[in-house]
Amino acid sequence: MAPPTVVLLGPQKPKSVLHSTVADITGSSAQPLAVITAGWQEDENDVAELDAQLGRPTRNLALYQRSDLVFAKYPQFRAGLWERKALLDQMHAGYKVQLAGALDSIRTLQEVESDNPAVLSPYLADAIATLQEIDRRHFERMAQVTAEFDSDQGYGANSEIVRHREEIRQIIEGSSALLVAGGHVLVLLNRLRIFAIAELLTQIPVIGWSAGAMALSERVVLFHHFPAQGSNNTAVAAAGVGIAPGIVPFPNARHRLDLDSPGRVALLARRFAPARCIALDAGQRVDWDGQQWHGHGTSDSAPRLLTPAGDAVPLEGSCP
Amino acid sequence: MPLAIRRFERAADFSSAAIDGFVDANTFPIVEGTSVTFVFRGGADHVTLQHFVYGLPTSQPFHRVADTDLWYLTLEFPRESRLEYKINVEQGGHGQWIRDPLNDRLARDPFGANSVCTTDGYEVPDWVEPDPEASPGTLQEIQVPSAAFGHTRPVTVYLPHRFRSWRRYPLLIVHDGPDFMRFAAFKTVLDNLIHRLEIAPMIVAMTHSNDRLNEYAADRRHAQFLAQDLVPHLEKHYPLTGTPATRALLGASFGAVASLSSAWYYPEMFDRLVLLSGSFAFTDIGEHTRSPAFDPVVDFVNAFREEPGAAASKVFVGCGVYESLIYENRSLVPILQQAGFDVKYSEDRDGHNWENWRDRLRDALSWVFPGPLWVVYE
Repeated sequence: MAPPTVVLLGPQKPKSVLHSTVADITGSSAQPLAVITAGWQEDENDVAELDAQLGRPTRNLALYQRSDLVFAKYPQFRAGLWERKALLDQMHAGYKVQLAGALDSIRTLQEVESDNPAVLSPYLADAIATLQEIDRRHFERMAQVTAEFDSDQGYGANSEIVRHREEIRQIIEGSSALLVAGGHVLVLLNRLRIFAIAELLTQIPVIGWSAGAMALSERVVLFHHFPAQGSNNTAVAAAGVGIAPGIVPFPNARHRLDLDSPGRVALLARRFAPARCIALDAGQRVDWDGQQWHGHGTSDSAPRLLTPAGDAVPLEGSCP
Repeated sequence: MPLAIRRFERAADFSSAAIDGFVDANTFPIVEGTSVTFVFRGGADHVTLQHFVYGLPTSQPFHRVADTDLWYLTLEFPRESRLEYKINVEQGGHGQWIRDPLNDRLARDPFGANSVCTTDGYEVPDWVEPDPEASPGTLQEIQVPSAAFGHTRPVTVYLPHRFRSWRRYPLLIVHDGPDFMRFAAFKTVLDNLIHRLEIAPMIVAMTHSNDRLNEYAADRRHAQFLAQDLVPHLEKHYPLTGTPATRALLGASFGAVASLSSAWYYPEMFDRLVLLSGSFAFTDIGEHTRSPAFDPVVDFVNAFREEPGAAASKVFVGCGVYESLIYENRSLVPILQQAGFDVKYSEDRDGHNWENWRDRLRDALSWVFPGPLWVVYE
């Protein structure tokens, strides 16, 4: 059996590379493709456009629909999820207060650092380390809450979930690749977790785009440098599935990130190190071969690696 | 460096060829830092600038260059200013307001079009131009029976791209909706901001009145039409969430008065308001000095200021600093805040016009119905 392969893509509009990517990964396999579109929520089954892009049979795992069936049968399970969400929202509110202070310090230090780098750079490094610690502690607290919830709910003993998992397992085993579409990243992640999809992905190539790419990584990071309202503070939101290791994907970076700002780019790269921050725009692709990340394409068609020096450089070939 | 018009005058070559060269070499009005030079070339006895900037004399005379047919006027405007104007050309005892022949930039409104001048720092927002990546929503024309007015009213309904009958949507009611679409690119703005996830996908009802100066002037019949005719009709025929927090009113000028007064007359019906350049005239003592059309407005605003109640909880207020209503709008904001409204207030260097209101839409709509841009990555 070939080693598992993970491919992360940017948005598939206005330029889709799904067809060529799937052809690369699955070769001449006649097996269908399994797809997860739970991030589209109520529109989960609107797959006509996706099917047309792929031009081959697909089987939708219908995680959103399956979760609705589970919720209907076990309302207490749904109530528990809402309760956990309320708790996580409160924790996130506290985290955002911490973030605001930490990021203010960093921005101020970035503004004055060039006045005397030898003296001020260590202070900036300390401030970034503080921010990393805030991220880490929040991440661990969220993971603890999630683990306790999973343990309390006893997914493995829930016959409805077990039945769906078995159906999903069979579909995945009969597929040549699993495709994870974008959409609402937290809803997607929630459904992936309910049905323990990560445990089923050891033998199959996985292709995720936009929110799908984010959900496959180890840490889901929410970002937007130009929101019309509120702060623009990038925030760690949840643990991802984790099969795309050592990387923080930033889909649609062209519209969402201020890539012309060396300070902002450098901060992302330094904050999430040693993970690599990768800007993934439409048509761009990065592959995990089990050992390393590799960018596809050259120049404008290649994904961009955000560097601690503040550059967004095309990732052509292996990730350094 | 001296201004371009000064350099031209100092050169003292006022031949027709030299004037041709000056006109060909410049873009008009000539914006040099904060100095704006308006230029007119043609036969005239007297030329004036007719602008709509409150605080400056409405009509300002141009100066003639020597005995030529070249006229100019230099005024000072701060950065990020946008103004609309016409040129009044008087000849043989007759005056005519015309658009600036040397300036192609126009802003249209129900009365025609004005020439437009902007200073450094102002940019037309990119989200007001059609975006080929943004899929368009659709428009439906409907007739709404109105008990309040005793006849049916035409309403244009906007449905967002990917409209699904099984979803539930917030409702935005727009006063002067057809004019907002024609003069403020409203549909394009909705398409773009929904595509960018900056505003929630929403259903928008564009209303129109043939008697807006009366019906929008805090007229209870209009409020009744919105609350008891239009909303029930829409909630019966469209998949609307149907809660106060998902109902918003938007209006400009008298339309803003209609929005605020309707929410005030029907508390807990409309929880979100967008008030643009509202005609919120009021008096602290004595009589107001505006036209008689403002009589009921002043009565309402005075009563509202006395007792704002809980008309809405989230309000966007926007006004141009070059319009006469800036005082009234600035005065409204603390009243709203003290009454516990969550207010976002925006002032910009612009006048009482449609493109000013267009430029505020991103801030305003994302304030009342924010989109899912932090959690959705398509």
